[in-house]
Amino acid sequence: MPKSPKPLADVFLNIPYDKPFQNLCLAYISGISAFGLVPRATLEIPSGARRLDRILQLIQACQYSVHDLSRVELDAKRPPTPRFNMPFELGLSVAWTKISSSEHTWFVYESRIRRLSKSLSDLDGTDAHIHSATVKGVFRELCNAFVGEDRHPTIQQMRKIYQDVTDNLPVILKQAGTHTIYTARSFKDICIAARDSAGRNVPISAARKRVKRRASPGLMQWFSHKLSEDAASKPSPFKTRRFRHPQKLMRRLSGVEGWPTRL
Amino acid sequence: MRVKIHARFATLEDTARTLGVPMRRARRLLKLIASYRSLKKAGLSDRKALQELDKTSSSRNVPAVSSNGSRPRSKSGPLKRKATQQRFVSGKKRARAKVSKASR
Repeated sequence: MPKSPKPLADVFLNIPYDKPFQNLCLAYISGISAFGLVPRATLEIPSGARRLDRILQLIQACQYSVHDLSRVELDAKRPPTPRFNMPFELGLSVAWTKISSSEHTWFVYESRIRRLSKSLSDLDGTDAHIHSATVKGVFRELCNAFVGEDRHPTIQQMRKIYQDVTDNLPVILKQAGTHTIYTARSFKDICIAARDSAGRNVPISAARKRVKRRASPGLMQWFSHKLSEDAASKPSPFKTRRFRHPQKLMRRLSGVEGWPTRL
Repeated sequence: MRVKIHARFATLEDTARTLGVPMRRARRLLKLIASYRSLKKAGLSDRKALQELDKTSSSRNVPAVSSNGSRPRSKSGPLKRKATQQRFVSGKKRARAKVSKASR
Protein backbone atom coordinates (compact mmCIF):
# COMPACT_ATOMS: atom_id res chain seq x y z
CA MET A 1 0.00 0.00 0.00
CA PRO A 2 1.49 3.35 -0.95
CA LYS A 3 2.34 5.59 1.97
CA SER A 4 0.16 8.72 2.11
CA PRO A 5 2.17 11.91 1.74
CA LYS A 6 2.77 14.05 4.79
CA PRO A 7 0.54 17.11 5.09
CA LEU A 8 1.76 20.59 4.42
CA ALA A 9 2.20 23.15 7.17
CA ASP A 10 1.41 26.83 6.90
CA VAL A 11 2.69 29.60 9.11
CA PHE A 12 0.45 32.51 9.98
CA LEU A 13 2.63 35.60 9.85
CA ASN A 14 1.43 38.37 12.16
CA ILE A 15 3.71 41.33 11.53
CA PRO A 16 3.42 45.11 11.16
CA TYR A 17 2.90 46.31 7.62
CA ASP A 18 5.08 49.38 7.43
CA LYS A 19 8.07 50.47 5.40
CA PRO A 20 10.72 50.26 8.16
CA PHE A 21 9.68 46.65 8.72
CA GLN A 22 10.04 45.65 5.05
CA ASN A 23 13.45 43.98 5.42
CA LEU A 24 12.34 41.98 8.43
CA CYS A 25 9.16 40.93 6.62
CA LEU A 26 11.27 39.62 3.72
CA ALA A 27 13.50 37.90 6.26
CA TYR A 28 10.50 36.17 7.82
CA ILE A 29 9.24 35.01 4.41
CA SER A 30 12.71 33.77 3.41
CA GLY A 31 13.30 31.98 6.70
CA ILE A 32 9.91 30.31 6.76
CA SER A 33 10.28 29.21 3.13
CA ALA A 34 13.70 27.75 3.97
CA PHE A 35 11.97 25.35 6.35
CA GLY A 36 9.59 24.26 3.58
CA LEU A 37 6.65 26.00 5.23
CA VAL A 38 4.20 28.28 3.46
CA PRO A 39 3.89 31.81 4.90
CA ARG A 40 0.36 33.19 5.16
CA ALA A 41 -0.71 36.67 6.17
CA THR A 42 -3.80 38.79 6.52
CA LEU A 43 -2.58 40.64 3.43
CA GLU A 44 -4.17 37.85 1.40
CA ILE A 45 -7.55 38.71 2.82
CA PRO A 46 -9.51 41.33 0.92
CA SER A 47 -10.85 44.04 3.20
CA GLY A 48 -14.55 43.74 3.93
CA ALA A 49 -17.10 43.27 6.61
CA ARG A 50 -16.21 39.63 7.21
CA ARG A 51 -12.52 40.30 7.62
CA LEU A 52 -12.41 39.04 11.20
CA ASP A 53 -14.00 35.74 10.22
CA ARG A 54 -11.48 35.26 7.51
CA ILE A 55 -8.58 36.05 9.85
CA LEU A 56 -9.92 33.37 12.15
CA GLN A 57 -10.19 30.94 9.25
CA LEU A 58 -6.61 31.69 8.29
CA ILE A 59 -5.35 31.07 11.85
CA GLN A 60 -7.30 27.81 11.98
CA ALA A 61 -5.82 26.67 8.69
CA CYS A 62 -2.25 27.25 9.86
CA GLN A 63 -0.32 24.84 12.04
CA TYR A 64 2.03 27.51 13.34
CA SER A 65 1.79 31.21 13.91
CA VAL A 66 4.51 33.79 14.32
CA HIS A 67 3.55 37.01 16.10
CA ASP A 68 5.93 39.92 15.98
CA LEU A 69 5.10 42.38 18.74
CA SER A 70 8.01 44.70 18.13
CA ARG A 71 5.85 47.55 16.84
CA VAL A 72 4.36 48.75 20.10
CA GLU A 73 5.37 52.39 19.73
CA LEU A 74 2.90 55.15 18.99
CA ASP A 75 2.73 55.91 15.28
CA ALA A 76 3.58 59.32 13.82
CA LYS A 77 0.14 59.95 12.34
CA ARG A 78 -2.30 61.95 14.41
CA PRO A 79 -3.87 60.95 16.71
CA PRO A 80 -0.85 58.96 17.94
CA THR A 81 -1.98 55.42 18.72
CA PRO A 82 -0.28 52.06 19.03
CA ARG A 83 -1.30 49.24 16.63
CA PHE A 84 -3.50 46.72 18.37
CA ASN A 85 -3.91 44.32 15.45
CA MET A 86 -0.92 42.15 16.29
CA PRO A 87 -1.69 41.58 19.99
CA PHE A 88 -5.32 40.99 19.03
CA GLU A 89 -4.40 38.29 16.49
CA LEU A 90 -2.01 36.77 19.01
CA GLY A 91 -4.96 36.56 21.39
CA LEU A 92 -7.03 34.81 18.73
CA SER A 93 -4.20 32.30 18.15
CA VAL A 94 -3.81 31.60 21.86
CA ALA A 95 -7.55 31.09 22.22
CA TRP A 96 -7.63 28.78 19.21
CA THR A 97 -4.74 26.72 20.66
CA LYS A 98 -6.62 26.35 23.95
CA ILE A 99 -10.05 25.45 22.62
CA SER A 100 -9.25 23.41 19.53
CA SER A 101 -8.24 19.80 19.41
CA SER A 102 -5.98 20.40 16.41
CA GLU A 103 -2.36 21.25 17.01
CA HIS A 104 -1.50 24.89 16.71
CA THR A 105 1.75 26.33 17.98
CA TRP A 106 2.37 30.04 18.37
CA PHE A 107 5.59 31.94 18.79
CA VAL A 108 6.13 35.50 20.00
CA TYR A 109 8.88 37.63 18.53
CA GLU A 110 10.16 40.91 19.90
CA SER A 111 12.99 43.24 19.01
CA ARG A 112 13.90 44.29 22.55
CA ILE A 113 14.58 42.11 25.51
CA ARG A 114 12.23 42.38 28.54
CA ARG A 115 9.89 44.79 26.75
CA LEU A 116 7.20 42.12 26.33
CA SER A 117 6.81 41.70 30.07
CA LYS A 118 5.96 45.42 30.22
CA SER A 119 3.76 45.67 27.13
CA LEU A 120 1.92 42.35 27.57
CA SER A 121 2.43 41.04 31.07
CA ASP A 122 -0.24 38.35 30.55
CA LEU A 123 2.39 36.46 28.60
CA ASP A 124 4.79 36.29 31.55
CA GLY A 125 6.44 32.93 31.50
CA THR A 126 6.39 32.73 27.73
CA ASP A 127 9.78 32.81 26.07
CA ALA A 128 9.78 35.54 23.46
CA HIS A 129 12.23 35.28 20.59
CA ILE A 130 14.31 38.47 20.54
CA HIS A 131 15.51 39.30 17.03
CA SER A 132 17.01 42.74 17.82
CA ALA A 133 15.33 44.15 14.68
CA THR A 134 17.95 42.58 12.42
CA VAL A 135 17.60 40.16 9.50
CA LYS A 136 20.21 37.88 11.03
CA GLY A 137 18.34 37.97 14.33
CA VAL A 138 15.12 36.88 12.60
CA PHE A 139 16.92 33.94 10.98
CA ARG A 140 18.54 32.98 14.27
CA GLU A 141 15.26 33.05 16.13
CA LEU A 142 13.43 31.10 13.42
CA CYS A 143 16.11 28.43 13.77
CA ASN A 144 15.48 28.50 17.52
CA ALA A 145 11.77 27.99 16.98
CA PHE A 146 11.66 25.36 14.23
CA VAL A 147 13.52 22.14 13.56
CA GLY A 148 13.22 20.81 10.05
CA GLU A 149 12.68 17.11 9.59
CA ASP A 150 14.00 16.65 6.07
CA ARG A 151 16.07 19.75 5.68
CA HIS A 152 17.93 21.80 8.22
CA PRO A 153 18.47 25.24 6.74
CA THR A 154 21.42 27.19 7.98
CA ILE A 155 21.59 30.94 8.54
CA GLN A 156 23.78 31.23 5.42
CA GLN A 157 21.20 29.41 3.30
CA MET A 158 18.46 31.64 4.65
CA ARG A 159 20.61 34.67 3.90
CA LYS A 160 21.03 33.41 0.32
CA ILE A 161 17.26 33.12 -0.11
CA TYR A 162 16.80 36.58 1.37
CA GLN A 163 19.43 37.94 -1.01
CA ASP A 164 17.69 36.31 -3.98
CA VAL A 165 14.34 37.78 -2.97
CA THR A 166 15.67 41.29 -2.38
CA ASP A 167 17.60 41.19 -5.67
CA ASN A 168 14.48 40.23 -7.58
CA LEU A 169 12.17 42.55 -5.68
CA PRO A 170 12.08 45.29 -8.40
CA VAL A 171 10.77 42.88 -11.02
CA ILE A 172 8.26 41.33 -8.59
CA LEU A 173 6.91 44.74 -7.63
CA LYS A 174 6.82 45.89 -11.23
CA GLN A 175 4.94 42.76 -12.19
CA ALA A 176 2.45 43.41 -9.39
CA GLY A 177 2.18 47.09 -10.39
CA THR A 178 2.98 48.39 -6.94
CA HIS A 179 5.76 49.97 -4.90
CA THR A 180 5.09 48.15 -1.66
CA ILE A 181 5.41 44.54 -0.62
CA TYR A 182 2.29 44.82 1.51
CA THR A 183 -0.27 43.98 -1.13
CA ALA A 184 -1.89 40.62 -1.70
CA ARG A 185 -0.32 40.02 -5.07
CA SER A 186 3.21 41.14 -4.24
CA PHE A 187 3.13 39.12 -1.00
CA LYS A 188 2.15 35.96 -2.88
CA ASP A 189 4.72 36.57 -5.61
CA ILE A 190 7.45 37.09 -3.01
CA CYS A 191 6.45 33.83 -1.33
CA ILE A 192 6.71 32.01 -4.65
CA ALA A 193 10.10 33.55 -5.42
CA ALA A 194 11.33 32.63 -1.92
CA ARG A 195 10.09 29.08 -2.31
CA ASP A 196 11.86 28.74 -5.63
CA SER A 197 15.09 29.98 -4.11
CA ALA A 198 14.67 27.68 -1.07
CA GLY A 199 14.35 24.68 -3.37
CA ARG A 200 17.69 25.57 -4.93
CA ASN A 201 19.55 26.63 -1.79
CA VAL A 202 18.39 24.25 0.94
CA PRO A 203 19.41 20.68 0.11
CA ILE A 204 18.09 17.56 1.82
CA SER A 205 20.33 16.82 4.80
CA ALA A 206 22.86 13.99 4.56
CA ALA A 207 21.25 12.17 7.51
CA ARG A 208 17.92 12.13 5.72
CA LYS A 209 19.56 10.78 2.59
CA ARG A 210 21.06 7.94 4.64
CA VAL A 211 17.64 7.04 6.05
CA LYS A 212 16.17 7.01 2.56
CA ARG A 213 18.98 4.77 1.34
CA ARG A 214 18.35 2.37 4.22
CA ALA A 215 14.70 2.20 3.29
CA SER A 216 15.64 0.86 -0.15
CA PRO A 217 15.90 -2.95 -0.73
CA GLY A 218 18.17 -3.94 2.08
CA LEU A 219 19.70 -6.56 4.23
CA MET A 220 16.55 -8.31 5.44
CA GLN A 221 15.20 -8.61 1.95
CA TRP A 222 18.49 -10.03 0.75
CA PHE A 223 18.47 -12.69 3.47
CA SER A 224 14.86 -13.65 2.84
CA HIS A 225 15.78 -14.15 -0.79
CA LYS A 226 18.82 -16.22 0.16
CA LEU A 227 16.84 -18.40 2.57
CA SER A 228 14.00 -19.08 0.16
CA GLU A 229 14.03 -22.52 -1.42
CA ASP A 230 14.09 -21.42 -4.99
CA ALA A 231 16.84 -18.87 -4.51
CA ALA A 232 19.12 -20.76 -6.85
CA SER A 233 16.62 -20.76 -9.68
CA LYS A 234 15.60 -17.13 -9.35
CA PRO A 235 17.96 -14.31 -10.24
CA SER A 236 18.86 -12.06 -7.38
CA PRO A 237 16.70 -8.93 -7.31
CA PHE A 238 19.54 -6.95 -5.80
CA LYS A 239 21.66 -4.98 -8.10
CA THR A 240 22.58 -2.39 -5.54
CA ARG A 241 26.24 -1.76 -5.01
CA ARG A 242 26.16 -2.58 -1.31
CA PHE A 243 24.96 -6.14 -1.76
CA ARG A 244 26.73 -7.08 -4.93
CA HIS A 245 29.29 -9.07 -2.94
CA PRO A 246 27.34 -11.11 -0.36
CA GLN A 247 30.41 -13.17 0.51
CA LYS A 248 32.04 -10.10 1.99
CA LEU A 249 28.95 -9.41 4.04
CA MET A 250 28.84 -13.03 5.28
CA ARG A 251 32.46 -12.84 6.31
CA ARG A 252 31.72 -9.75 8.33
CA LEU A 253 28.69 -11.32 9.99
CA SER A 254 30.39 -14.64 10.76
CA GLY A 255 31.71 -13.24 14.03
CA VAL A 256 28.19 -12.62 15.38
CA GLU A 257 27.10 -15.15 17.99
CA GLY A 258 24.43 -17.59 16.84
CA TRP A 259 24.80 -16.63 13.24
CA PRO A 260 24.74 -19.58 10.84
CA THR A 261 28.08 -20.13 9.15
CA ARG A 262 26.42 -21.21 5.92
CA LEU A 263 23.17 -20.23 4.29
CA MET B 1 10.75 26.17 22.82
CA ARG B 2 11.69 24.34 19.64
CA VAL B 3 9.16 22.58 17.48
CA LYS B 4 9.93 19.76 15.11
CA ILE B 5 8.13 20.19 11.84
CA HIS B 6 6.10 17.12 10.96
CA ALA B 7 5.25 18.23 7.48
CA ARG B 8 6.69 17.75 4.06
CA PHE B 9 8.83 20.39 2.39
CA ALA B 10 6.39 22.44 0.33
CA THR B 11 7.01 22.27 -3.40
CA LEU B 12 6.40 25.16 -5.74
CA GLU B 13 3.04 23.65 -6.71
CA ASP B 14 2.06 23.29 -3.06
CA THR B 15 2.95 26.88 -2.32
CA ALA B 16 1.10 28.20 -5.36
CA ARG B 17 -1.98 26.12 -4.57
CA THR B 18 -2.02 27.19 -0.92
CA LEU B 19 -1.69 30.85 -1.80
CA GLY B 20 -4.25 30.59 -4.57
CA VAL B 21 -1.84 31.53 -7.35
CA PRO B 22 -2.40 29.83 -10.72
CA MET B 23 0.56 27.63 -11.56
CA ARG B 24 0.87 29.23 -14.96
CA ARG B 25 1.33 32.66 -13.42
CA ALA B 26 3.85 31.31 -10.92
CA ARG B 27 5.93 29.75 -13.71
CA ARG B 28 5.76 32.92 -15.76
CA LEU B 29 6.93 34.94 -12.77
CA LEU B 30 9.86 32.62 -12.20
CA LYS B 31 10.79 32.80 -15.86
CA LEU B 32 10.69 36.58 -15.67
CA ILE B 33 12.84 36.54 -12.55
CA ALA B 34 15.36 34.26 -14.26
CA SER B 35 15.67 36.56 -17.27
CA TYR B 36 15.94 39.59 -14.96
CA ARG B 37 18.71 37.85 -13.08
CA SER B 38 20.59 37.08 -16.27
CA LEU B 39 20.26 40.71 -17.38
CA LYS B 40 21.59 41.86 -14.03
CA LYS B 41 24.46 39.41 -14.33
CA ALA B 42 25.32 40.95 -17.67
CA GLY B 43 25.98 44.18 -15.79
CA LEU B 44 22.79 46.14 -16.39
CA SER B 45 21.39 48.40 -13.69
CA ASP B 46 17.98 47.75 -12.11
CA ARG B 47 16.26 50.31 -14.31
CA LYS B 48 17.92 49.18 -17.53
CA ALA B 49 17.18 45.54 -16.79
CA LEU B 50 13.51 46.33 -16.18
CA GLN B 51 13.39 48.32 -19.42
CA GLU B 52 14.92 45.39 -21.31
CA LEU B 53 12.36 43.05 -19.79
CA ASP B 54 9.60 45.41 -20.86
CA LYS B 55 10.93 45.38 -24.40
CA THR B 56 11.12 41.61 -24.62
CA SER B 57 7.68 41.11 -23.13
CA SER B 58 6.06 43.74 -25.38
CA SER B 59 7.73 42.34 -28.52
CA ARG B 60 5.67 39.18 -28.07
CA ASN B 61 2.45 41.15 -28.54
CA VAL B 62 1.26 42.05 -32.02
CA PRO B 63 2.35 45.61 -32.76
CA ALA B 64 -0.27 48.15 -33.76
CA VAL B 65 1.89 49.39 -36.63
CA SER B 66 4.76 47.34 -37.96
CA SER B 67 8.28 48.69 -38.14
CA ASN B 68 8.17 49.34 -41.89
CA GLY B 69 4.98 51.37 -41.59
CA SER B 70 2.62 48.85 -43.16
CA ARG B 71 -0.74 48.20 -41.64
CA PRO B 72 -1.12 45.17 -39.44
CA ARG B 73 -2.95 42.18 -40.93
CA SER B 74 -5.76 42.13 -38.45
CA LYS B 75 -8.32 44.82 -39.09
CA SER B 76 -8.92 47.38 -36.41
CA GLY B 77 -11.44 50.08 -35.68
CA PRO B 78 -14.73 50.30 -37.62
CA LEU B 79 -13.42 48.05 -40.40
CA LYS B 80 -12.87 45.21 -38.00
CA ARG B 81 -16.21 45.69 -36.35
CA LYS B 82 -17.99 45.59 -39.70
CA ALA B 83 -16.12 42.56 -40.95
CA THR B 84 -16.64 40.49 -37.87
CA GLN B 85 -20.27 41.43 -37.69
CA GLN B 86 -20.94 40.34 -41.25
CA ARG B 87 -19.26 37.04 -40.82
CA PHE B 88 -21.08 36.45 -37.59
CA VAL B 89 -24.49 37.24 -39.01
CA SER B 90 -24.22 34.94 -42.01
CA GLY B 91 -23.04 32.14 -39.77
CA LYS B 92 -22.37 29.72 -42.64
CA LYS B 93 -19.86 29.13 -45.35
CA ARG B 94 -20.16 30.86 -48.65
CA ALA B 95 -22.41 28.88 -50.97
CA ARG B 96 -20.26 29.52 -54.00
CA ALA B 97 -17.22 27.35 -54.19
CA LYS B 98 -14.21 27.86 -56.35
CA VAL B 99 -14.93 26.62 -59.84
CA SER B 100 -12.56 23.84 -60.79
CA LYS B 101 -10.67 23.82 -64.07
CA ALA B 102 -12.42 20.66 -65.26
CA SER B 103 -15.92 22.10 -65.05
CA ARG B 104 -14.97 25.32 -66.86
